[in-house]
This record gives sequence, structure tokens and C-alpha cells, in this order.
Amino acid sequence: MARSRERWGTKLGVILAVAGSAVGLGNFLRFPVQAAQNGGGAFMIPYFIALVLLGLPLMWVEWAIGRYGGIFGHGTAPGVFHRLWEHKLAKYFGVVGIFGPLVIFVYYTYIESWILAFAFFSVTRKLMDAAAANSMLQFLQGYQGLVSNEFFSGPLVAYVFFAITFLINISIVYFGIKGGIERLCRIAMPLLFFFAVAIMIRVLTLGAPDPANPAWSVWNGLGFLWNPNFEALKDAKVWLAATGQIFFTLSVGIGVILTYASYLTKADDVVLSGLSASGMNEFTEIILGGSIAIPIAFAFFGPVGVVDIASGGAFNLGFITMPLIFQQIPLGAVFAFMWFSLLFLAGVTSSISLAQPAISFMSDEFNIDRRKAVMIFAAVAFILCQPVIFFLGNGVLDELDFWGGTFCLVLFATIEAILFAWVFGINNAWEEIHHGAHIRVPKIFKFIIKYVTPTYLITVLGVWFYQEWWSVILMRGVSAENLPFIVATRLGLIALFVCIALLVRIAWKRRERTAK
Amino acid sequence: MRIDGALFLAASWLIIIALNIYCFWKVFNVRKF
Repeated sequence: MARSRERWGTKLGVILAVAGSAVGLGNFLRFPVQAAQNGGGAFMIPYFIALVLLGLPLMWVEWAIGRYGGIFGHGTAPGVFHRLWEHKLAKYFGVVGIFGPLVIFVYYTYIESWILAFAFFSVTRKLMDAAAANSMLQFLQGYQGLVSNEFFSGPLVAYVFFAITFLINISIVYFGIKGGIERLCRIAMPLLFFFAVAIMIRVLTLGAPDPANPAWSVWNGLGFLWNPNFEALKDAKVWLAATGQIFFTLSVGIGVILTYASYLTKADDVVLSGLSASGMNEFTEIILGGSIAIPIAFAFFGPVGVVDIASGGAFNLGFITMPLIFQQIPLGAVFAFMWFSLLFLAGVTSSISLAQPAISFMSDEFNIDRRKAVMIFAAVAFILCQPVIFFLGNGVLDELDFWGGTFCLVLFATIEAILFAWVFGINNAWEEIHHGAHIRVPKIFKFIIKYVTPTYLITVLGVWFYQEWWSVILMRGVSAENLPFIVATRLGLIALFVCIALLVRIAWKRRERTAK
Repeated sequence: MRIDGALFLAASWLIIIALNIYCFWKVFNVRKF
């Protein structure tokens, strides 16, 4: 006999949980770097276009198909896709919706543990031992176990923080949807906003901290981020960057929103909830994320320094530049603690959502008790995390990020958009979206969901295949030293994908036998 | 910051703030259409 599925406790709880899943490190680190590198204020034109044509439609699609699948007792893509398209192959397309989140969880939890460690080092003031960019880089690399130096002599400390972070994640999902995830998000999201607003106010009231360089002000730092360079819009890469940012930021195309929405009841709204979660995420990204890291980096490192920082990427900005800046402002240790705490809260509310699809799959399709499913997930994920930790310097994390966090996102989004709008049918889809809705979606979106979103996604996939496919497959640019690690990672990913596909097959065979 | 930069910032912030006010007002005053 099938178990009764869990449900969300409150409407606000589910909105905060989905917003928590969407709000991650990318809102505070990736967005400002992407905007600064891709035309400044002009970047917001393709960004908002991608939000309207891709982000919001996919958000509604994923909420709607998740709730639809939940009615039939399915909380993951194989079951949901099978209900949308009763073809024997449909369930295998859904494997991506379990595989992707699991792969991201494996490396994301490790990165999250660095943040927890840096929050701890802010309190103990160990972080203040590194007083220049080079020594802060040494501090980070020593912590990661990439080098042995005066700060760290091996990866033991990093491993302890990883184990703590992993346990925190598992403990939360152990208590379930309402008792674990929803309860955490109801506390973590307001706390995250409080920390972010406090840091934003501190940044915006800094003025020009260096009297010798009055032009190095926060105001001009905002200008560095927002002054539009319209020439950049002629470059296709800028449009692709904006599209990618919308994917990352909204957590669409991963399968986690689908799983979260499967715990709604048939009468629950998805239109307003999806829009509210998106709005909350955009507030965090554009208003809070855009007003902290890049403006303050400009104020302390000037127009030349900030260009180097932006080109160094999001990680350097978060783990090297920001700690250095906090050393130079009054109560810097407090603000550093708040900065890493808010990043940790943003990270943990995302990583628990990444764990949920695999857990739901075991509970729903194999009728395994939730707590037992969490333990099985914990054991598998813990083993899979080990190569990421010990072979960090050999490109394993980047490889997982590419396949799990980039390729699978676009692939899964394309599959779900086509299945929902074309196979399930746009009229059924439109009716399903509006079932129990508190607001109506403007009718233009019926056209967008049917034609524009799938075309947009297919174009992005097509351009990627045309430009990158062979160089990725042939591993061009991978050093000879890292090659065996990259090959092993790819073989491991294929094996994991096949295992999940086999589990899907076994689950369906069992279901057929039970039905007979 | 140039005037066009300030305009882009102000427009983006206004859109996002308006969206959030609308959503929260609706969420806390649910009336089905």
C-alpha cells in the first residue's frame, strides 16, 4: 500500500522554501560579476527579457507539473513525465531530474562547507592573519588542501567542516518537508535578508573610504556595475550569459521545484506562489546582490583593481576580495561573519532542495520510509563527495559543475517545456497552471510557453552543440596531468546516470507487477 | 555613476520592488479570481 505523502504546512512556507532553493551563492557573487563583465546596466536588458521569456514560464511550468505529478503520488521527474506522456520512454527522460540535483549536491555541499569555515575563521579572527590578496589566496588554497603553508598543513580542517556541513544538510532533510525544510526556511530566509540588508547599508554608507582616492567611492562602484555599455548587446555571448544567469538564479531546469511542488495539494495555487518566489529571488539578486560585493570592491581597489577582481570570477570575489575588505572597515570581523553566514544560509537552503529529489524518488517509487531513504541518500552522497574533496585541484569539481550544474539544466528545461506544452498539450497545460490559481497569467504567456520558451531553449542548446560540443567531448584544454581525473569523473557520471535509469526501470516493473 | 547608469539602476529596482509589493499584497489578501 502506498504511503500518504507529506504536505507543506503553510503557503508562505512553500514560497520561502522555493525562494530559498533559488537564492544561493550566485545571487551575491555570480550576478554582480556577470553584470560587470557583460555590459553593466545594458546586461539588464537581455536579463529581463530572459526572465520574462524563459525564467517565469519555466517557473510556472515546473510548479504546475510538480503539483500534477504529486496528485498521482510522484515527486520526481520520471513519474511526472510518465503521467504527462504515457510512453515507455518518458520516464527515462526524467532521470535527468534526479541525476542533476544529486551531482550538484555533491560539490555544492563542499563549497558550502568552505563558507561555514570562513564564518568560523571570521569569529576566531584567523581570517585576519592573511593581510594581502596573495596571502588570502594562500589561506584559501591551504584550507582546501591544495598547498601546505603557514595557515594549514593539510585538508583535515576542510574535511571536518565538510562533515559538519553534510550533517547539517542531512539532519534538515531527515525531519521532512514540513518539519525540516519548511521550518528551516521560515527562519533562515528572514535571517539571510537581515544580514544582507545590514551589509548593504554598511556598504552604501561607506562613501569614499580612501581619502587619497576620492573617486574610488561606492557611488562610482555602483556606476561600474550599472553604467550601460550598449555595444555589448551586439555580442551573442552577453545574451547567453544573461540566459545562463536566469537559469542559475531561479533554480529552474534542475528538477527541485518540481519535487517541492509535488507536496502541494491539488487545490493549491502555483501561479502566485511561483511569481512570489521569483520576485523574492530577484530582490535578493538585483537589489541586495548588486549593492554589496562589486561596489565595495570598487571603493577599496579602484577602477583598475575591480576589473581584475571581476575577471577573477565569483569565488575570488567572495573568498579573497571580501575578507580583505572586511579587514579594513570598523567591526570588520562582525561584517565578515555576517557575510559568510548569509552565504551559508543561502547555500544550505539550496543544497537541501538538491537532496530532496533523490529522497522523494526512493520514498515515492520504492515505498521506502522517508528516514530510511535519507540515510541511503546520505551514504551514497557522502561516498560521491570524496573525489570532489581529494581531487579538487584536478578539475573534478569543475567537471561536475559543467555536467550537473550547466548542461543538465538546459537539457531538463527543454524536455519539460516540450513535454508540457506540446505532448501534454498547451490547453491542458494552461488549465493545469490555472487550477486553484490566485491570479491569472496574462494570455500572452500561453503563446510564450508553447512557442517562445521551447524555441529559446532549443536555440541555446543548438548554439552550445555547434560551438562547444566537440571541444568538450575531446577535452580540449584539459592538461595531461588532469586528463585521467576528468575521464574517471565522466565515467563515474555515466555509471551514476545508468544506475538511476536502472532504478527507474526496476520501480516501474515493480509497479506493473503490483498492478497485476 | 553616469545618469544612464542611475536610470538603469532605478528602473531595475523599481520593477523588482513593485513586483514584490504586488506579490506580497496578493499572498496576504488572497481572493481567487
